[in-house]
Amino acid sequence: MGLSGTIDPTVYEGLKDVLQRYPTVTTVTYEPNSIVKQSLQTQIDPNRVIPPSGPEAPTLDVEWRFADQDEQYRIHYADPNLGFDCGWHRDDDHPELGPVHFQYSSPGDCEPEHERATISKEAPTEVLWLVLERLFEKKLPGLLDSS
Amino acid sequence: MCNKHVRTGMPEDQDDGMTRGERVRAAARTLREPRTAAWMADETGVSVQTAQKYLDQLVEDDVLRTIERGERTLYCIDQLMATYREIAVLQREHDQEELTDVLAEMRTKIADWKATYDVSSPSELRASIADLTEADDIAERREIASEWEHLADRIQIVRAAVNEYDWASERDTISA
Repeated sequence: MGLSGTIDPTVYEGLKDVLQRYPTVTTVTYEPNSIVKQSLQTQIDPNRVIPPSGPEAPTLDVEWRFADQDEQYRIHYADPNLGFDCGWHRDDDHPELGPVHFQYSSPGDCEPEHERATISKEAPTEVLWLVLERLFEKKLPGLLDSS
Repeated sequence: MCNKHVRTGMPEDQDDGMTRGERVRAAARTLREPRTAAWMADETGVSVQTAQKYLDQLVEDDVLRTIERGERTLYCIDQLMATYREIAVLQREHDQEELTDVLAEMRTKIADWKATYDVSSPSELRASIADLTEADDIAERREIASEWEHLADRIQIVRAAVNEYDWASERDTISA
C-alpha cells in the first residue's frame, strides 16, 4: 500500500541536505525527477557500510507525506547484493504495531518480518538522522552477528 | 563501524557530517507548524540560545518568519519565499524544454485519471471511495488522489517557472 497525504518539497530539501552529509551516502536524487519531486532515492557506497557489500550500490528510498496533524513516511534500505532490505515505516500497514514499525526481509523469506519501533523525534530531519544511525551503526553491523 | 571512524577528530559540535548548527538549519526547513526555539533545541540537542541564534539567522535570510503568541516567539517557514526559491531553482537547473515536457506529462497524467475514474478533482476521487468495498481499490484511489494534488501543485510552480523563464535567464547571467 502506498502512502497518502500531501508532499512538501521544502521538507524534501531539508531531508536531502541530511542525506548528502551522511558518510555512507554517495548520491541523492529526486524520483521520478527533480521537477516532480515525489520522493528521494539515495545511492549508498557499498564499501563504506558495515559489513562491506558490493559490487552493486545499495539504495535508500525516503518518502514523506503529511495529512492534517499527522504524517507518514518510509525510509527503506535495499542491498541487491545480499537480497536484503529493511526500513522504518510510519504508515497504515500495521496499526497493531503502533505508529511506526521496522520491517525487514532476507533472502528466502516469503514475507517480510515486522517489529514495533519507537522514534522519539518529530522533526523529519531528526527522524531521518536517527534512522540512519540505527541502520548503519546497529542494524547492518548486526547482520554480521546473526550470520 | 564506519561512522565512528568518521567521528574521529571532528569538532565537538559535530555529529558525523553535520554540525549542530547545520542540524538546526536542516530541521528548520522541515517545519510544518510554528515552533519555539525551545522545541527546536530539544529536537536537535542544542541549547535554546544556540537554536535561537540559528533560527534568527534563518529569519534574517527570509527562510523563516516569526509569529508572536503571548510571551512566546514561534518560527515557521516563509512559504512565499520558499515558493519563489523553488521557482528559481527550477529555472536555474532545467532548460525550458525540460520544464515544458514534464509539465505536459503531468497534465496528461491528470487527464488520464479524470477519464479513468470519471471525476474532475482529487476530492471527487476521494468521495468515490465511499462506493467501494475492496481495500486495494480504496488504497489505490487514496494514493492517486494524493499524487494528483501534488501534481496540481507542481503544475502551478512549473508553469510559473516556464512563464518567466526568459526574463529569469536574462537576470541569471554573471557579468564578466
